[in-house]
Amino acid sequence: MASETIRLERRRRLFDGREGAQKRFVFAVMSPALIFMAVFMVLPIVWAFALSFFDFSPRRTGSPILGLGADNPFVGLEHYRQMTDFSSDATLNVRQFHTAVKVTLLFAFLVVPLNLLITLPLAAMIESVRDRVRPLFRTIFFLPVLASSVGVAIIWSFILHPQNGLLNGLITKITGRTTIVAWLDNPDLVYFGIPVALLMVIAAYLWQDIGYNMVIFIAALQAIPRSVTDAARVDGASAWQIFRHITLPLLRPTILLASILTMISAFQVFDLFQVMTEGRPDDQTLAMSLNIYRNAFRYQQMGWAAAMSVVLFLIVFVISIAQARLLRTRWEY
Amino acid sequence: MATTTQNQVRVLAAPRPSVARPARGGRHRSGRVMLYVVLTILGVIAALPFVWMILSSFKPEAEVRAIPPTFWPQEGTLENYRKILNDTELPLALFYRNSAFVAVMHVISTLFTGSLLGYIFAKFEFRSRAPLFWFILATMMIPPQVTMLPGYLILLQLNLLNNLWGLIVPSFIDAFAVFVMRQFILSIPNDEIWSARVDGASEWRIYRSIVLPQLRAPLATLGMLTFMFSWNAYLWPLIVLTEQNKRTLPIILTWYSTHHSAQNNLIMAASVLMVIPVLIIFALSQKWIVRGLTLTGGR
Amino acid sequence: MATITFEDVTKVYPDGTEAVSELSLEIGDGEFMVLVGPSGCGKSTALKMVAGLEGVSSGTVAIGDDVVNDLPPRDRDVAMVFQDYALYPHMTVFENLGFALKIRKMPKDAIAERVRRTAAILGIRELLERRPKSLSGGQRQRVAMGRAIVREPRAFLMDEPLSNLDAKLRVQMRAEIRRIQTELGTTTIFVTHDQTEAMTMGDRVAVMRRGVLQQVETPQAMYDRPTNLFVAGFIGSPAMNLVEAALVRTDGRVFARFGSTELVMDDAFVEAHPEIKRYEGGRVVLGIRPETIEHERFAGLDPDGRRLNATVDLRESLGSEALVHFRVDAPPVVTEDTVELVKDREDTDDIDEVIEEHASVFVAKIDPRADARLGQTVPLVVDTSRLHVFDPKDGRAIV
Repeated sequence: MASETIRLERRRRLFDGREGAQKRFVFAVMSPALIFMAVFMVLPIVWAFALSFFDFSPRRTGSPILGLGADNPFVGLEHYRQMTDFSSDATLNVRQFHTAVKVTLLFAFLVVPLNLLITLPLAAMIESVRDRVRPLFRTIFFLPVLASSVGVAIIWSFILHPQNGLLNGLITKITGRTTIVAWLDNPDLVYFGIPVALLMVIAAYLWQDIGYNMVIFIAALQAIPRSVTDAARVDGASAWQIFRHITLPLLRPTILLASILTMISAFQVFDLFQVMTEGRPDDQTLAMSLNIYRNAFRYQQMGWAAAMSVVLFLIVFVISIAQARLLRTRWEY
Repeated sequence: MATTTQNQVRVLAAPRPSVARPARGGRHRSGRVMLYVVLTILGVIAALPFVWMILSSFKPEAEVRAIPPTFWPQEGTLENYRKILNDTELPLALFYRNSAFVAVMHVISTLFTGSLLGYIFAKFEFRSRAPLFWFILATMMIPPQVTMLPGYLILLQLNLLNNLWGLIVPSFIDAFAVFVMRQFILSIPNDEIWSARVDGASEWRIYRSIVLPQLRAPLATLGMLTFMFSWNAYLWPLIVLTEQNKRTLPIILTWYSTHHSAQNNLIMAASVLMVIPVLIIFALSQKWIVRGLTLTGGR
Repeated sequence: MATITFEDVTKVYPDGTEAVSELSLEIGDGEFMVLVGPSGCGKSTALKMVAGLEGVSSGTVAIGDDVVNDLPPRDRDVAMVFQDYALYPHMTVFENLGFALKIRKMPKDAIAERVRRTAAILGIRELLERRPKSLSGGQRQRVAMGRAIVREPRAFLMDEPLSNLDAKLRVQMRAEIRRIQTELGTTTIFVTHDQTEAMTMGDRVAVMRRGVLQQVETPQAMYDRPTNLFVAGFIGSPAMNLVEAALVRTDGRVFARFGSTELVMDDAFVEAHPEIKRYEGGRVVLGIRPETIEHERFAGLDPDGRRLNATVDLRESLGSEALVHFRVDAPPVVTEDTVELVKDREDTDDIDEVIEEHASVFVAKIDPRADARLGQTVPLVVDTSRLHVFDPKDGRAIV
């Protein structure tokens, strides 16, 4: 039929014509890319959500469909329902879930402001230093970023060692009194309601992470034209007034970006918690990422772990949006 | 006729100035001194953990167990390093090789896919371009904790568990690299690409000979960063690699430290061996990384 | 009193470069002083020293009766207009103008009143709520000026504020800046590299080169009597023609000889500048302004001893006059200062080649009615009473 031949011809023309080579190129690149993304990006996300509705263990064989069903029964919203069980006789894993959420939120909401309060002034200080000395300072503060977090965890564990650690050693030397404090292992050590062990993990994480934002802020500071700060100086502003009225407002987009990224990272910290404390003492440092890992790979409770990871994702998502809204600003000037 | 030089007129340079007297500071002097003092103190605090680690690695076991602990080594020794390097249970070379293999493959794959996809997204128009690009960006936001469980199961199905390739394959495409490459490629003038097309170059040729050479800076930076993060990765290798001789350095370090939990001198020496080489490489190529990081704002 | 005084001011940078050398300059109250010179001559540095953005290595800078060397910029009560305008990008025009006043804790309505008044002067009232990025170059420039004016300072310091504007706007703003300044009577230092701007705007012009002040003068006086080769070649457009000549005395008259040309120097001329006699038998550099060369027909001078035969290389018709480029068979004067000028004229980067050629390009500004077409040889006459003579060794002006 005439119409059929027309249709066929049109199809053949897909890769012909002026832009044929380009289309072929895009097709050749995007096809494998899309397949890859489907398998390694889309599938996991979908699968993770699906998993959260099942009681799943990798040891058991389920139905051929992603291993779900059969020996891995469908439980619907059971996991999520359990999460809302705040009674005192809730099962251990539920109580641990609540603890983990608390620990993670506490961690993130302490880390982000502390980080910004340290990195911003630090960047400003380094920026105002003479050109030749600047790379030296920048390197010193940036090096911890490159150290493996496992290495960081181990070093800090040793620093905080009750008998042989640097911290207690310094305190002993300064106060003259032999100090053997178990910073990471004493559940009774609490400071203003925050477990000291958690504070120590925070300290280690801050130490490692400061270089990142510092470098970002230095770049943002350098992007402010010299003539603008000069103009402010001639206009009569003191150093503090320049910082408050000129520098800070111009840095707001960067600060917003940095705080969102820092927040997201803080929620995902795993290595430090696993290697430094493993959740001890008394689950005071049981972060959600650690809890999820343990439930998935040690207790083989993947459905439950998946549900928790979904909750983690939602928390991160909501907080990021809230942050963006709260500190909304114009991005370019 | 007189020679050329004589026909030139050379005027004396500006009158020689008198020696300038040294500048008088005074105004902001005290402020600057304070600045340097504060920065130096902070710098010392920042460097302290590394210093402690290195110093401790040279102390004998007895000294490391002393109460209260010493700072400078009273008895420096290389014994710790000797023990580690000769430890039969710790074939360091093997683990270095594992980590290096994974890191190098990781770098090659992400740079390749990143630049290629970045090029596609930057210079080609097709209907699904915008949604696809946003999708790739969105995947950056998903916490690894979500994808690691199904990721494990997928590798299980593909029989890639306990295999170094199981680390490499899922990270073939790195959304961040795609994003960064696209940014840079956007600034390549379209005319260059079009003139190459008119000249008859194939699309692959254009990618290879025109786009790629101009990406030296971001490629180098991304390469270094990717290498570092792959080298330091812990969680994912922990999940995927279950056999000791397949494992990478961070896992080995943890294993070693729990294995010799009371011997912090050994642990510190092992840490030095794992952490320091990377730092040295960085310090040497410092300019590139910091510049690249600030340009990309990546985390 | 808002005079500005430089006394033996020197600025040396940590790496040893001396940007300003022993600058001594006095600017009167209400005066519009232009600092002009090629890039790198130290004019911006000198300006920044008045503002306090650069420190003084030695010497004193005084505003009024106060030596301000150690005063921070905020206490000097001067306002600056930057080349890139340096507007605060995150503030509206209104906030930009009012920033300095807000810092000084002026009450809000006083600020508002002053800002609106200033905006009216500059014609930017309807822009008050806009942000810098949405403004055109000319508008931004006005806001930058407004920011300075609103403060009612002791002095305005302007660092090449018109350089980023297109030609037509530049001419327009020149007049307007001058008008406003005259109205306000504020002492002003205006830095530029454009000698036309300097000549048209300044009450006095200060020419700088490599950190050294060459000459300070009212524009016309500087044009008529440049103190050295550099100023002579820098001021005036088209530039002064320079050529090295031998001074000989023949039959009781003094001649300047270069190539195949011989120009006579009248007795009156020589008597008026007796120093010329010292160079008889030697060499000097002659400076001939283009407008002092005229076609024989229209010159109204005795061509004897004043003749220049020219083969026209290029003719530029300006309507009111014609610029004629022709070759003179004598090598061009190449000094450190004039190297760039010569390269430009000869349209080449190879100085040695130019010198080899033994020919330089002259420009004459002649009556448009004169018959001087491309390739033609025309008889030109030089008004030798307006010759400039310079010492060939140090470039100093003898006449």
